Order: sequence, then C-alpha cells, then structure tokens
Amino acid sequence: MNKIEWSWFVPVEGEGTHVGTYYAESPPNIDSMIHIIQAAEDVGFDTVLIQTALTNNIFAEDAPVFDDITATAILAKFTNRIRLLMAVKTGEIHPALLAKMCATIDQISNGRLAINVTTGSGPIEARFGERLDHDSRYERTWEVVKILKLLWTEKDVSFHGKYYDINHGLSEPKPIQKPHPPFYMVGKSEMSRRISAEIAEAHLVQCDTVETVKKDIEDISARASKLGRTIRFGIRAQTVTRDTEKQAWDAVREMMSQVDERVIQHRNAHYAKVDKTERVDLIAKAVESNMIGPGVWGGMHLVRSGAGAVLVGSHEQVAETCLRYIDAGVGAFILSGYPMIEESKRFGENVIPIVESRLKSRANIRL
Amino acid sequence: MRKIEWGWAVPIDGDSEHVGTLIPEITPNINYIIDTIRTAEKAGFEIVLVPTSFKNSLFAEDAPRAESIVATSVLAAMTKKIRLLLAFKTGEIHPALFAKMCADIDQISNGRLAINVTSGGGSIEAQYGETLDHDSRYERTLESVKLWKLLWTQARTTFRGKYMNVENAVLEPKPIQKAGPPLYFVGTSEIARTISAEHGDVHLFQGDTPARIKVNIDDFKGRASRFNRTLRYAVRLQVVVRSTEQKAWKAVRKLMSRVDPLVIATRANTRALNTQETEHRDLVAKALSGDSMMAPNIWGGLHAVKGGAGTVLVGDPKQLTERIMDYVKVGVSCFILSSYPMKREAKRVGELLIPMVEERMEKISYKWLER
Repeated sequence: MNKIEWSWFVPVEGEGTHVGTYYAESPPNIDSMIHIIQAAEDVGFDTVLIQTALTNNIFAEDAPVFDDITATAILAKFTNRIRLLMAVKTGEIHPALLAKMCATIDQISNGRLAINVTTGSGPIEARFGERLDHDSRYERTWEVVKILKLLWTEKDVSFHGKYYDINHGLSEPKPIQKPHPPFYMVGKSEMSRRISAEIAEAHLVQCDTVETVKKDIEDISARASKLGRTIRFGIRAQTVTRDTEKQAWDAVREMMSQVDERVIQHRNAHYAKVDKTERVDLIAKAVESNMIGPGVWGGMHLVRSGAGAVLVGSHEQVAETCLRYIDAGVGAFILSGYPMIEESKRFGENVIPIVESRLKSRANIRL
Repeated sequence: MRKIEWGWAVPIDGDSEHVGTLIPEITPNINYIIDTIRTAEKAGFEIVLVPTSFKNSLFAEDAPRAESIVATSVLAAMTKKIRLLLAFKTGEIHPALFAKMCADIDQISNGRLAINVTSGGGSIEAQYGETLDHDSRYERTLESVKLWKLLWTQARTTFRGKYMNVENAVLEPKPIQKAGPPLYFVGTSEIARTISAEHGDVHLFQGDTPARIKVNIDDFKGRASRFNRTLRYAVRLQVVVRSTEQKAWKAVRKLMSRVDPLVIATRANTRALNTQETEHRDLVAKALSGDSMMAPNIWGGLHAVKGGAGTVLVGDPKQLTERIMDYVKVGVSCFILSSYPMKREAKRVGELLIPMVEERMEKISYKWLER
C-alpha cells in the first residue's frame, strides 16, 4: 500500500474559532500562515494547500483574502520540509510567466512545489470578466498544463493552440523536480475527467459519500489506464475530531454558533433571494441535518463555497471514516479545521497515528 | 531642496565579474538576491528595481532568470527598509489578480511597493504570443492602470473597457499606501507620454545624455501640468566608478573581457549563431572604442551585450558626481543604478559616489528644482 499523503491548509482567507462570521476572527496575515504551516509540519503533515481566490469564499465577500502565489513564494522561503500545493486558476496568468513563477518557487523551496490546477467557473470569475463557457475553460486549462510541461522539460518550445501561441519560447531555470512539479487537478465534469486522465499526477475529488467517491475514482482510473497512466486520488474535507463523539458535535455547534446571515447571502444566489428569516432558519437547522454519510457532515456548505464536507467524530471514528475513503481508493487527504493550529494538532497527534497503524497491521496480515 | 532617491537593481539574471558570458558566475538564487539587496540597503540605496523578462538579458538568453513577482514577495518579507520597484508587463496577468498581488506585497512590506509599468513590445513578447500593436498595448496598459487604481481605492468596482471588464468586484485587502503603490512608467512614444503625464508618479528614462533627457523632461512637464500634475523623473544607468578614471576603464575592459560570440549575436538580433570569430572581436572592440561614447563619461558600449539598461557612467567619483549633477540640474531626482558584480558594486557605489553627490546637494541650494 502506498503511503497516505496528509495535507493541511493555509488560511489565505483568514480563520477563527467560528465559521461564517462576517469577518474572520483572525484576518489573513503572512506570519500566522507561517506558524500554521510550521505546526502542521511538526505533527506529521506532508503537504499544505494554498487556495486561490480573488474574493473571500469563507467569510463575507469583502473580507480580505491573500493572493496565493505571493504567499507561497514567502512560505517556500520560511519552511523546510512540507510540500506546498499551490492553487492556480488558469486564464489569469500567461502560462510562460506562470511557468517561471512555479520554477522559481520550486527552486526556492528545493523541489517542494505541487500545483493544484483549477479552471474557475463560479459567479466570481464572471464578475471579473470571464466569458468562456465551461468546456472552453477546460480546453484552455489543457493548453496551459501542456505549455507548462513543455517549458519545464524542453529547451526550445513552440506551441500553437487556440488560446496560446509560442514560437521558440524558453523558460529557465527549470524546476528542481524532474520532470516537473506534480499537477493536482479537480472537477467532476466529462471534460475535467478526460483532462485529468491525460495529464494529472493526482485528482482531487470533492468529499462525498464513500460510494460516490469510489465511483469517481474508478471512472478516472479507468480512463487513465487506457492511456497507460496511473494517477493518485485525494479528497478535500474539513475535520472536527475530539476525544468523544459528543465533544465533536458540541464543537460543530460552537463553530456554527455565530454565522452571519449576510455571509450565506453572499455565498449562494439562491439563498440571496429567500428572505432573511428563512436564512436564519437554515442556519439554526444546519447542524442537525445535512449528513452526507456516517461521520461526514455537509452543513458547512451553507457558509463556504467548496470543501464544505466535514469529518466529525471521536478520533477513532474519524480514523475509521478516513479508512473507508482509503479503501475506496483515496491516497491523499487535503484537510482543514478551525482554528487551524489546534485542529491540525488534534488530527495529527490522534487520527494520523490510528490510520497509519491500521494500514500497517493490514499490510502485515497480507504479508 | 529636493532629495535624490537612490535606486539599485536586483540580480534577477544572475551576477558576474564579467558580462556577456553564456552563463553567470552566480546563478540568480534567492539567497544571493536577498544578500545583494540587504547590502544595497546598508550602502544607502532606498529602492531596488526588480526587472521582468521571460529570457535572460545579461547572459545567454537561456541562462536562468528568476521570476520578479516571486522574488519581490520574498524580498518584501526579508527586508525592512528598502522600497521594492516591481517591473510588470501589462497583459501577462489579469489586472484584478495583479492588483491583489500588489496589495498583498504592499501589506507584507508595510507600504514599500512601487510598480514599474511596462507595455512590452520587443521580439521576445512576440515569441510568447503577443499580437497587439504598439498603441494597442499602451491602451491595454492604460485600462490596466485605471482598473488597478479603482480596485485599490473603491469598495466596489465596475469597469468596462476594450480589454477588460469587471462587474461589482471587490478587492480586499487594500494596499497600505492609500492611493496604491506609486507607478513608475517608461517609454517615450506619444501614447506613452500621454499615459505617464496623466497617471504616472515617476517617469523612468533609459540611460541617455542629460541634454536629451532634458528635452524629454521639459515635454513631460508641459503635459503633466495640463492635468495639474507634477511627476518625478528617474534615469536608469549603469555605473563603473573607481578611484581614478584609468582604473574605471580598466574595470570596463575586464567586465567585457569574456563576451561570448553567441551572446553578442543574440543582442545584435542577428540570430547568426555562426558569427565569425573576427566579426565578434570587431563588435567587442567597437563597443570598447570611442565610437561608443555618448558624452564625456557616458559610455553606451554595454548595449552590445545587454538587453536594456546599457548606458554606463564611467569615471572617478568626482567626475561621476559632476555627471550625476548634470542629470539633477535637468530635473532628474531618482537614479536606478547597477554595476557588476551587483553585491560588491552596491557597496562601492554607496561608499564612493552617493556621499559625494549628497555633499554637493547640501552645499548648493537648487531653488530651480522647486519650480
């Protein structure tokens, strides 16, 4: 069995003890990002995800959010071991410039960069002038990844695409990692599955029921193997892990106790249309409903876009949940929880050892 | 009396005792870059230029070159006092994302960011797919700048342009500098002048003679005053200063002693990889001859091996103080300098040249500067 990749999260959008407050209790700042990563490194995480967003997706949309490339550049300099999974939205940066940025970060970090390629699609991108339709955006993503790989492995690059045209371009320095930093792709659509199968090193699946995750993994794996490729799979989830299940659910209730209804309004066009009392009602009921599966609660989707599934329970239960996903084919967990340092410690000190020792004893039995 | 702003440059192409070699003696690794800028900070420089290009402009084109925004981000966290002049070619990054990057760097550096706005135009941009003509690129620059400023200062921004559209968009955090980081423009075409006069804080000239810089500054002043604005003026120069003029020229000859034929052919844009050995020697000899003198102590021969910023002040401290004062007299108040190797020379220029110029500035009351 391959080693599990444990990844924590850098709060470029800020964080706090409570989610869905109008502003984050701790607004994003580079020093706390460095502390969070160092803490995650200390308790056994292999990687951290640095998300990209032009507008805050977790708190109110006019709450501050940091650009992730500038943050990753600095984090590369201030950390030693942990891998940096930097999100990039294709179309925002010329691929030749992006190639140089990533290569420079890979150099600074001594080969610790990975790239989470996203294609963007939400109302936020539309607000910033995105006009391509879904499949065209994925076509552009395909071109960007192709160009990055060419510029990172070839001396003299010519590429004639629909969106980009390069004649005898070059990019030096090359990344430290050979052949290049790994690509983590995302998406559920037909187009995104095809692209992942062809060019991704890893595919991140949104955390859903174990059955759905398994189906997605099998589908993309089959597509990849037709092309003679193997890719790894990860899920993106939140965690609330405590000594007992009751403590964990108390923590969820506390975390959700200060949700501002304006944040829900910002998050979802549908909720923006209903009246305020209905939104307040949604918040009140959020904790008691929204179960995705055993130990997986989806109520945080109400306040944040993306990664709203939460692994909730005792350390033992959360470890069991992780093992169910591992059995479905998941090899990487991209996790976060609030507040970041405390939750990364709880997870790293309690859940990771249980999962790792179960995997080890299973392997021994097989031997 | 107006103070001079002393600027140095980041060794983004790598660094060397010799220019025009295939590869630099020191690669552009981040620790050397940080070290150089901390040295410049100590030597009395107040700002550093972080240039931008896809290709190396000092050694062979395929020699490594670090990326400017990444380097500037790290420098923002690793320095305390020196201001960071980040060069950016509009069109390479979505203006809202670039505005966010700048706001963050300004936050991290506690208000030390400035932006050198460039519009591209060389053969290198064309290789990477640039299809807009000169004036259209400047139009795009104008839209970018307007949009950045709105995003930096307004709670919500709606902007409809020819090249970009945003609708009710939010950008937070804002930069520490309330109006946004100051903008240093370049270019002397009609449209470049118009944009700079209306939107620039500083206009940065490529190294030229004080007489020609004066003609340009007079023109820019007239244009800016029509918008009720005053710009500052900067000049980008190399400098080789030694205790005697003879030693300075000896240093220049040493600097140019290992030029590779391939590099000289690339910069001459001949792309003739088989340039004859003799022809190459001729080009180096010509670069070092009197033909390359633009004015006393102003040597243009480095252009033969370097893309951009190839005008060099060569002489002893007294001579170069006079030359700097010539620029000051015509209205220049910011000097973006460099010399190779960049770390060692930052220290030398800080010791030999800056104090002597500052002393002259103190002695003379330049009332005309305030006009």
